[in-house]
Amino acid sequence: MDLIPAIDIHAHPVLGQFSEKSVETCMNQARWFSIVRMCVMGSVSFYGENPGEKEVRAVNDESMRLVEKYPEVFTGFCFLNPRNSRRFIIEETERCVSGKGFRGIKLWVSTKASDPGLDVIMEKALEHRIPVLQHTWYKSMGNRQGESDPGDVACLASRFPEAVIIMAHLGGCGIRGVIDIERFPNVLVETGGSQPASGILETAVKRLGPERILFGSDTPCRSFPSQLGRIYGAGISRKQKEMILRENALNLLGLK
Amino acid sequence: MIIDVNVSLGRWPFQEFEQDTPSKLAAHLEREGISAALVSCIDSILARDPDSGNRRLFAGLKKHPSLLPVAVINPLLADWPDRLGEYAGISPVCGVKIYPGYHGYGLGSKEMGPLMKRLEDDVLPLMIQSRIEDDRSQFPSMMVKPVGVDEISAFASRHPGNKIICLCLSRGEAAGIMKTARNVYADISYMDGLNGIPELLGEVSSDRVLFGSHTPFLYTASARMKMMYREISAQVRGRIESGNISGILEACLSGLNVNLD
Repeated sequence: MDLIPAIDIHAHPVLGQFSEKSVETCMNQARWFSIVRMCVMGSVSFYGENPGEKEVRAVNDESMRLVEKYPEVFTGFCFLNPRNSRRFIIEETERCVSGKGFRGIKLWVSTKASDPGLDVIMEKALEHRIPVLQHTWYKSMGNRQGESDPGDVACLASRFPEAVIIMAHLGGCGIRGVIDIERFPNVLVETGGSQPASGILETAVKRLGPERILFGSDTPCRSFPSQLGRIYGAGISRKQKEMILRENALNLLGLK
Repeated sequence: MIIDVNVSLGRWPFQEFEQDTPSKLAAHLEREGISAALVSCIDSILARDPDSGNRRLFAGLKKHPSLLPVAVINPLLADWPDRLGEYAGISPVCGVKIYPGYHGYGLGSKEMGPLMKRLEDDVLPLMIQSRIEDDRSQFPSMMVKPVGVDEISAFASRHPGNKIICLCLSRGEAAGIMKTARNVYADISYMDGLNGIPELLGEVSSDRVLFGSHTPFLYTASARMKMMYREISAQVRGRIESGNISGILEACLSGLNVNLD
């Protein structure tokens, strides 16, 4: 198979207790499947759904370690919890972005994206001109209390039309999610989430355009082959696959 | 050579498929490098009686020798023994697939005993569709629980003379069942995680792992790429991709005169 050198916009080389071995495994598998760069989201679930400031800092410390040790492989995203203090969020963003060159912000499940608690984070993202990657899902049995769905992302996008938001987990958001954010050009979609169900990527390309879609694996929850397979197996052109796997991320992260 | 044990054909209300005819499906699988596939009828899953869907499928597959028919059986319907006999006269059936979650029974139900006896006599594998879709992404009014790990383990232990192929189990589920039930095989379609397949092969024998893509529900390419792990040796890959299922289907494949070279 002729693999396209890819950039993974959503990776967790560490998820849980820090382990050099898991980082090495992640890097080796990525290399094998032609993933040349991964954006590090941090071990976001290690301290539960609502981590304190000290805990958020510890997650980002680990990401810094990885970015410093393997700058040719990892790009940092600053993990933030909107429920932490405004002062901490500002300081932590500065520490990661100004201090260490992180190129994005990662939000998980403590607060819905439609909550005004995100305002300070969005203001910092705009100030630094970096994207915000938001965990998003439509779960049949209902989302967790602070877990965003695509409607929440659409709300956020309408309030911050200049900010770039990456809606994570196309596979979990489904067609309804694509429709929710279709009219907000500042929302990009990450391809991961769930099993590689056929058809959804083609729908996203058709309705959003390939320029609004980014490859993401969410490793180690998912494997590179299962998540790459949904790109390689989709009924879209080679050029569109190159955009999704690589070019859109290069442009977004300023890596060209 | 690859034999895909988890392929379906038909219409599904919650997803549109490109490969919606036997010809399109055969051409698609050939492009993916798949030599043969075990195919069952999707329409039979939600039908009150799976029979008409099975018959349409068998008729449609006649022109495509690489698509090997699998019958969907609902053991709650009293006429299944007659139907299974009739199918054998229409087309060699390579296996029987059941959907306990969708058809509303458990593996411990009394109807399963006669079915397992029949399959043992006919040397046919039982294929259990554990799930069709991610449990979290099902249509809101159509949420069907997967077949439970403990339920499958206990069931397999009660029927040691049968070969049981479980489809769409997670890696953890498959490992849990296969460690206790030696007559259970599992396909790779739903096995995931950074090191998913290599880790499974560290826990259970590769003799009971089968290539399955869950086409057309999932992209075939994902299963193909899972076989690219460098930790999987050529020998083990050969077993998973075709060797193991060829052994299970020996009688069926010889009857069909399928060229798998």
